[in-house]
Amino acid sequence: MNPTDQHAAFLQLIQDNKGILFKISHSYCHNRNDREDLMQEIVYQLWKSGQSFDTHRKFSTWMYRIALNVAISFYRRQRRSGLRIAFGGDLHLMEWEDRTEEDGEMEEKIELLQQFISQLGELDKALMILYLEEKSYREIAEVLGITETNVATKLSRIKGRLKQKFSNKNNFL
Amino acid sequence: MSTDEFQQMWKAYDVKLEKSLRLNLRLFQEVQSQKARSALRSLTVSRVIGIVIGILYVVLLVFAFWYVRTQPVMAVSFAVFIICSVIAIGMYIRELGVIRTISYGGNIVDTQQKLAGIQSSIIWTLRICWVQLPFWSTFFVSNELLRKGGREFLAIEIPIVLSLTIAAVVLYRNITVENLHTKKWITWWIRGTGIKSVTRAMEFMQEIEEFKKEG
Repeated sequence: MNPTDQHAAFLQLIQDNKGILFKISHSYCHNRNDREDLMQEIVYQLWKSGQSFDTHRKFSTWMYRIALNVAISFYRRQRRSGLRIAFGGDLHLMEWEDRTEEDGEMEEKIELLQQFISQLGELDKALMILYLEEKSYREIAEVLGITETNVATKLSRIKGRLKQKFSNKNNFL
Repeated sequence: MSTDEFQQMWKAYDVKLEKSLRLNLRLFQEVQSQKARSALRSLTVSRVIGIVIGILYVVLLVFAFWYVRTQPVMAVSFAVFIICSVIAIGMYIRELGVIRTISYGGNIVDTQQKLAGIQSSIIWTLRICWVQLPFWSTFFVSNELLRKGGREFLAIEIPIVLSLTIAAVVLYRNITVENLHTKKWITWWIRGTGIKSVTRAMEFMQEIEEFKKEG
């Protein structure tokens, strides 16, 4: 594949997975500018690591590993320095197009879900994102580097807490 | 609410993003040409700078050692400085080797454990630095100073050397990862050496260990 085709293929790949990149960035960074920086770093690392991708392995496993590893490292670095790294001023890699009319109730639920995710530890957060992305226990275990049994145990605990949070919210409402 | 509903909710979020997010392709090439700001890069850069400065420092020390080689106290002091610096450089080179094996494409637990391990390794370099402490009070003691200073000089010098030796032993034994949590004076003593990031890295290491545990 020549460099132009390679570039086009990579762009398509990012285009197809932009949602997950945004969701990972959103889960690890509260600030919009930080999210933008993180997203750029993930894209950069995906591009840079592209040549090391073993085509015999599952693409999504590789992509989640890179995105989550970068997100955790970035999150920890930002927290440590308390600084954000400026890039490109007002330029944004992901832009919002026409905003659609949202279903208010669903919007609120998503917000609550995001709030819950943002309160989790870095590793639990990664686990939860992979679960919500409907990855199998096997793939989650492969991405994280723990056993499937461990994935199941941890997920059941986190889901229990999540259910509790939603039921408390409903009772409150 | 069933747990699958959370996945449905997440899917709805996906649909919303699919509709409303647009990738800015124009910026894409700029991002690719940007310098990597990754944790790996900053770790590599700091180690390479440390190694270069360390080598220059050792070269200077070797010159100084050669110059004072006939003066035993000074020669021993410079020899200790050289040995400690070479050990510290060796540790940095080893870390550089570990950094080279880290890939973001590796599983999360392994990758993050290696990263946090390197961040926390500064503790070993600090211990080595403190070993040199007593020799900072001897590196200027020439044969002539010993001869001319006589008993008065020794009466001042020996207690200083002994005190610094005791301090070095105490610090070497106490600057440990475990003591960062239990002995506040250690944290206070080595503040300003990036110890906060070391403590956080250690906490994260513990978090990873907990995460790996089943049940």
